[in-house]
Amino acid sequence: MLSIASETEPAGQLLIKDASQFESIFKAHYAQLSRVAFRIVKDKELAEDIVQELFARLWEKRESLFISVPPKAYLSRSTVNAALDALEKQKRSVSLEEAQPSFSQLSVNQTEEQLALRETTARIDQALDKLPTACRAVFVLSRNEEMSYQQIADAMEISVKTVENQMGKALKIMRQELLPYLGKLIKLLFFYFPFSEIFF
Amino acid sequence: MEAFNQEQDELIAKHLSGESTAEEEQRLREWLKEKPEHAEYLQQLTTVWNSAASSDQFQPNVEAAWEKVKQKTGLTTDAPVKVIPFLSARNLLRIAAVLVPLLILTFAIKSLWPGESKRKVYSATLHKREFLLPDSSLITLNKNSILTLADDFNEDNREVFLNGEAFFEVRKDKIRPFLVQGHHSRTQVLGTSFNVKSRPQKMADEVEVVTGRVSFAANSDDTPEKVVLLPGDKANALKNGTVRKAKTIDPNFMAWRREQLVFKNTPLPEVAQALENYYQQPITLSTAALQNCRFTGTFTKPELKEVLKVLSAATGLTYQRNKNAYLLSGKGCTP
Repeated sequence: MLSIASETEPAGQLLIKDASQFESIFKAHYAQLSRVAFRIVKDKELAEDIVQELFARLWEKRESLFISVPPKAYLSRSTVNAALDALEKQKRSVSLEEAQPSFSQLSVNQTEEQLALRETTARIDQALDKLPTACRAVFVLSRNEEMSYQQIADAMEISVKTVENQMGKALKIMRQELLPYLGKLIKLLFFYFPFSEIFF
Repeated sequence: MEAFNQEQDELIAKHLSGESTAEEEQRLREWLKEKPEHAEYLQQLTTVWNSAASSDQFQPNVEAAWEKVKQKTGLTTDAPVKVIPFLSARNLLRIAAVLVPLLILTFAIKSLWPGESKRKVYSATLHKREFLLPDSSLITLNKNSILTLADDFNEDNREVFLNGEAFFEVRKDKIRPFLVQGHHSRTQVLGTSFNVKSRPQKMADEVEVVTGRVSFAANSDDTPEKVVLLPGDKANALKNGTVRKAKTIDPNFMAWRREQLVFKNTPLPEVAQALENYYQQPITLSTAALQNCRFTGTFTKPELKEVLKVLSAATGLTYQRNKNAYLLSGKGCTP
């Protein structure tokens, strides 16, 4: 199929042109999209299900699926939407009590370092859970997926200004939650984590 | 503790995530000098930020996932492929209406008409274009690029000749390796996606791999140096036959394909290089002082003039145009 670039052609291209191109797109983006979904739903299996479901649906409506943004942007956006939906469903059916890690589950044989690491992770997760859904999504996409504000804005269909706002809010709430543990965290970070950020 | 406001939190968030502009960094520095509590507050937020690092390495099994999706959609590799007929009346009308140089148009149609010329040639002039090759591989040609298929393409192997830049999404075929012949190099794959740059006026060919494995070698009469590249790898093949390997950490790699340029605290020389690659016009820094300027910003489908204006506002540089090339000058920035 030859696509001829025309000055008069309307914006919009078929996302999926045929089976083998569909396979290429899937394989090119699957890993990254799964990670994005994972950041939001916190469950690897669920994240993969979401992305697989998404692609299956896209294949079904391939004949009418025209996009005017780059495929990656479209796929990111769809994935974030699907992940946020799944999260909402999850929240309604699972009580927050069950979702929190309990320290009593820690095995006795772990070293002090491993215990400290798990505690830190648990505290951070708890603080993150206190954030409103969209706010948390923005924060984890920036912090853990290293998406730029613009990419996050595109994926979540919000303005960059909103992203800035949500990031500020996320930091503020997390600081409040972690204030009692900050002293301990600083010590732990200093000894057990590589410091990639430059303080000043 | 003083009540810190939303504005400061946003500014600090931008600083921590690398989104702040030079001006914003300056404002942060000044805010820090105001009171000692400010520095303590920043350290607390920095600790929060650093603690939130995820040690989770999530590498999903893409092949297994693909199998699942194939099942869900009822797709198998033997299933008939949905083909949108090219020679429909509607498409023919579109061709008639298109403002494309007649020569290229004749060339393209001639090469696809069944039974006519055997040698297939694909080209892009003013804009990038996508093509589906006879083996169902998908290529995106950057502007000013030409791809020629070997006469026996898809028989024993799939050989193509590239002049310019293209992104390849190669269909897997273990029996017929896909070979991209450049001016100084030769790239071989079974099924994968990667970008190749090969222009005659440049001293080296360049390849960058997105998925799969690629074997890359220089064109040489003796035994050529060969490397195997994995996703994220990049390599150059020089005219003299040497091959150099590096890791791609350039966020603007294939910016031409995404039509977006992303800079995060990027040094100006790198910005200039990215612009040069994107617009294919020489862009040089005339003063050494400009080298310590950094820039943060994202441009979507930008005009070069627009980008230069923004850079000028951010770093105080000025620019002169000489035919196709731009020369950037300025006093530089405080490092």
